[in-house]
Amino acid sequence: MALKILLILYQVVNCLASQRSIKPIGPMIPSVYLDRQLEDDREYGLSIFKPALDGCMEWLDSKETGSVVYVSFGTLAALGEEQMAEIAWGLWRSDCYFLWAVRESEEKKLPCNFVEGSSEKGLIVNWSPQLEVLAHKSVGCFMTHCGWNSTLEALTLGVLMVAMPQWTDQPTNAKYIVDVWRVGVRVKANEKGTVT
Amino acid sequence: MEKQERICHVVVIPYPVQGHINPMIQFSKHLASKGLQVTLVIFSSQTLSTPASLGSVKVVTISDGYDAGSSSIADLLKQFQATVTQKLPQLVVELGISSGHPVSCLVYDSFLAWVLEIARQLGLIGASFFTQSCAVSSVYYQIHDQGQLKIPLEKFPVSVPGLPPLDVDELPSFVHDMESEYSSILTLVVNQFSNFRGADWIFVNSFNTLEEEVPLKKLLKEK
Repeated sequence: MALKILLILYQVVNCLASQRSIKPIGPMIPSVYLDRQLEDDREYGLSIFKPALDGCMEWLDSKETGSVVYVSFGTLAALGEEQMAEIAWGLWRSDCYFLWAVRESEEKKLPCNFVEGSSEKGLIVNWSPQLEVLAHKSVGCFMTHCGWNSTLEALTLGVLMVAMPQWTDQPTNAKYIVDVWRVGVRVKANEKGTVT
Repeated sequence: MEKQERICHVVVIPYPVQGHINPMIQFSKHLASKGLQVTLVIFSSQTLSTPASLGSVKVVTISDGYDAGSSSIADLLKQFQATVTQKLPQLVVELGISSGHPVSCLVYDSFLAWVLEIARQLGLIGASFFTQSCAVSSVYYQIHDQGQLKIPLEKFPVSVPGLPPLDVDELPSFVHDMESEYSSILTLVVNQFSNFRGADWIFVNSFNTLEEEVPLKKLLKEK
């Protein structure tokens, strides 16, 4: 994908020098994934959830280039049980490997025995080191809730998106992902609001 | 006596959810890399395993006084504002003393627009930081102050200058999801514009080529 965004306009010194104006300073993501302005800046550094470091990256290493769907709905969104099951079976029936971040509080919504039963194709973790995952060559696309940080991270790292917005600003971010930047597709919900 | 070098001390105050904290952490790191003294203050009731510093950015976590009871979103937001309004002035003084560099600027999440008043009372510079996209902020702007969008919205898709037409499922959810709990969040996001013309700077977590058509920047420049 050609969209490798390197043009950054945060010029902090200039910001501080010129008064009373608006400064686009994004994308505010760790520097290692951008222009390396900050030395060794690999992660934000303060996380509400602890990323699963055990096995997540090794698992990706063992997969072919572009063969994995990475799925995450961020820190807040809570999907219904029926929706979780639809995603689970959708991933299971797809031809792809999947890495799915399911927060601990959401795990009980997964179909019975799904984690064990799907282990040949998928890895489910409670939280992931998302930037490292998105930068990994095995990841082919990102199924995302379209939070603005996730969106900027995927744009920066050139990962195509399957947009599944939940609430707040996410539907508008999804609109831009699909129709303005054309770097993803959006899932369709049925009349009950469930994506099947 | 040797004259101590005067270093600008900036206090950065995010809205305490992960998606808002992350970009403001990065911004803090960039300011610090330019030689500024930066303190990131997180008012939160969550048990964050907060490091004392991130590189040269000092991190301070302060209880926001949230009650784990079943308060409404509106009550929680009110309580949050009361706690920050009460604790921030003292904290600013203490940070100045402990670091040897008096605080000169507050960079606050645009969701917390009322921090500008605190900055003014303390004689400090105030900068509003929009963590969301220009497009989304433009939608909220058009609702603020009886702009082009009137709530409740009746016809879809809606037109916002510089944005593609937005259907109901393409709009930020709070502008049409009128569940009672969310009305206070709509007030919160629209209030980002309550005093933005008074801020000394406005920072947006976006970049020109990404949202070229969105006129928020032009609009803000007219302020």
